Order: sequence, then C-alpha cells, then structure tokens
Amino acid sequence: MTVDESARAEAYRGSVAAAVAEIGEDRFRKVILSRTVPVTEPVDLPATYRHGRAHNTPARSFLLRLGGLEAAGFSPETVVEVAADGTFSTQPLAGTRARSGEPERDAELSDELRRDPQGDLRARGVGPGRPGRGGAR
Amino acid sequence: MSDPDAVVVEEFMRVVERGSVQHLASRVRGRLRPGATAWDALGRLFPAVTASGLPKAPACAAISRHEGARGLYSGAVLTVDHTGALDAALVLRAIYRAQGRTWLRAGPASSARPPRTGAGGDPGEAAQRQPVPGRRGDDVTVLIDGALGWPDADVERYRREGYWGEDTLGDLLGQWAGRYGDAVAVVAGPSRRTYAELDRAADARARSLRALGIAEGDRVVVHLPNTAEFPVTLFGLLRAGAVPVLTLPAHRQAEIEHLAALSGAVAYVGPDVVEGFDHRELALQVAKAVPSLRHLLVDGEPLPGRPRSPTCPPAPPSRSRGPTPDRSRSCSSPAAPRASRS
Repeated sequence: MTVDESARAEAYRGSVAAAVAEIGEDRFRKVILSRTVPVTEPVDLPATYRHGRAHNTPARSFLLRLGGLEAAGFSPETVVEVAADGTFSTQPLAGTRARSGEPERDAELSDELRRDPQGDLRARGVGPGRPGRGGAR
Repeated sequence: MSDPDAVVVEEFMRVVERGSVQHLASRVRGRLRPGATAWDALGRLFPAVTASGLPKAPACAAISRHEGARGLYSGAVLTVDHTGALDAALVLRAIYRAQGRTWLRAGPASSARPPRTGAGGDPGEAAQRQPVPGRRGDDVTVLIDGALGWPDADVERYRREGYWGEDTLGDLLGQWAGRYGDAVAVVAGPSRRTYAELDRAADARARSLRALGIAEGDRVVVHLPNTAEFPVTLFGLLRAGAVPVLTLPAHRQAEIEHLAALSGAVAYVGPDVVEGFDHRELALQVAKAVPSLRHLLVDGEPLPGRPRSPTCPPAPPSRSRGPTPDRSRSCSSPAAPRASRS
C-alpha cells in the first residue's frame, strides 16, 4: 500500500517554520508538530493490527473501536503504569535510530545512540519538514 | 505525587528495540502519596514529553496554535481496573479511521540550532543575540559579564539580611582549611582529602590553569563526574578567577557543544573514559565545532599517540599529599593544527 506523503505538506512546512521561529524567541526549545497523511485504499484494521503485532516489539499495542473512532497502534512507551499497591512508573524514550536487521550495524547504531542521544534532533530539526533518521514520532 | 524517598531511576538510557527502530529508555518509579490516586499520576505525567516537546506546557500551547486538534494521536489508551491499577500507553505509530476516512499521523521533533556566541562566534550571528535582560536598565547589578543581573533592590535586601556576604567560594575554602585543617573534607571511594589538602590542591590547580593562559572571566566547561578531582578543579577555577560552566555527566556532544558555544568557553575539563564512553573523543568533536575552545584537559590519560599539549603545565610542586594522585596534570592537545590556537 502506498500513501501520498506530500499531502498538505506546504501547510505543515509553514507550521514548522512558525514554530521554529518561536523557538528562536526562546518560548520553548523543542516541539513535535505532526500532520495527518490520508490513507485512500481500504484497510482491514484487525488484520493490520495482527500483522503489526507479529512484526513489531511495542511496549503496548491496541485495537479499538470507541464511539465513531477506530484505531490500531503500536505504542513505544507507557505514559504511566500504576499498580494496585500504589507504586507507579513511567518510561520516557529519547533519541531514535533505525534497526537495520544486521546485528553489527545495529550495534553501531546503538553505540551512536548512547554517545549522542539527541544528536538526531539537530539533524532532523534544522529545516522545516525535513525528518531525519527515523525520528518520526 | 510521590514521596521523594520512594523515587528510583530504575533504568537510565538503556537501548530498547521497537520494531524497525531503537531508542534510549529510562524508567522512573515512585509510590503514590497517601490520598493520591492513579489519576493524579496520569494528570502529572500526561501528555508524554516524547510526544510534545520541551518544556512541556509551552510546547503543548504551540501544538494547539499550529496544529489544532490531534485527536487520539499523542494521547493515551488506558486500561483501568477496580483495584486502582492504571496503564496508559502513549498513542503513536497508529492508524485511525472515523466517518469513512482513514489516516496516519506522525511528526518529527523540531528544534532550532542555538545561535553561536562568544569569542569565536560568527559576527553576523552574534549581532542577532538577544539583549541580556539584566543589562537593560541601570537598576540592575551584573556580577558576571554576559549573565543575568539581579535587581539592585534585591541585592540590597540580600546583603542586609545576610544572604550575600563578601567572601568568594575560593576564600571560603581557605577559611575552612584554617578552621578544620586535618578533618576529612572529601571522601571518594578509598581516597580521603582533608580541608588543608583540598585547599593546597585547589591552589596548585589554580596555578596550573593560569599557566595555561586561562584568565579571569574565562569560561571553562567542567564535565567531570563526582570524583575527588571535581572539587579540586572547581575551586581551582574559582581561585583562578575563571567561570566554571558546570555540566552533567550524562551530557553528550549536543549539550556540551551548545554550552561551550553559548558561554564562549576557552577550555573543557573532562575525564578520560567513563563506563566505556570516551570523553576525549567527545572533546575533540566539540573543539572542532566551537572555535573558542583552546584547551582540552583530561583527568586521566590523554588519547594514545596524541602529543601532550605544548601548554601543558609543568608538574605543580608536590605539596598535595592526598592519597589521590593529582592526575589532572596530564593534558592532551587536540589535533596538531588546533594546538596553535593555544
């Protein structure tokens, strides 16, 4: 299946440029602006979920229908986990590198991540609409 | 939300694999205060900073301004049960469908490269610097050039009420040495340093730094972990009149480069290798990007095959009799062309 990534790209570039200008005014340091990409072909959500779950290693996954909304997703992290005894934990993530499928290359990428976890922020953040190395959220 | 004593960082920057990508993950655990519920925890931790940006509140405001409603994206899918347990999964990497429409949603982080300032900064960029807020009026006392000032009314009050005295931190160490002399001041593993020894070591360090050409007001990035060398270097810098730019051991090139450039630092002080991470390589990379950095000082061994800096000070008189050898004398110079900047 293919999706048209260029859909509404201009508007997104404009938003990112505006946000980067605000960063220049020291209002905040980093922001993650998102955009939607329409999927025009029919999609079987349960099958998508099953396929994704078999080929992914998420922290959580979900397939839901609630009110008028359906969704299937593979969550990389939990916002919070609270146990009945009152203990809670949160697992924030930082930095992103690809996994190539080749153990040696993956180990190199892991090392790079440890050395400079936020280095990719600069790579993907300096220009509008220029996603870097697999950094999409 | 939690009793501070119950907060534990269980994992710090561990690589986790998520499908076709890998990330650094940290896990922080706590215990709800009496009376607090899982919803209080969710209220504090939501939305995830991974999905909004830093700092969270202004980043979320920007998202609302520029993006409008996100729907489920970057929200959470919860499971809650009668025992009070709650599990909130961050919603990213999902497909959505409503009213016959199907869509994906994603976004990379946006940040801006910090403007270069300081001695080596590009003049054009430097000209765009924001004015220092503390220097706009005459009713402000600026203690360090380039840093925010304090309103004079507050300065008077701090002095009147005794919060601010006339002693510098370097002076205070001398007073402690006079008063407590042989008492132990620093414990680091098996090594001990008394106040008198710390005082002498700080003096020796200050002399070494001055011999390198580090002058009053110079910024020096300190990237040392909590070792016995840290207080020696800190007090040495203060006595040399330099301004220590203190950084965290977990900082890496992005942070150190930014802080070094922002402060116009002339030197970097770091360890050699800590937990497999070679700070000397980091220092070389930072030096390439920050022209003001003239000296890279290593607490430990210089990089193999790298010449000792021509400005490496001679061994200070061995007055320091602390059980910890004064290892910071070893200093390495960056690649040969850079040594000429020294």
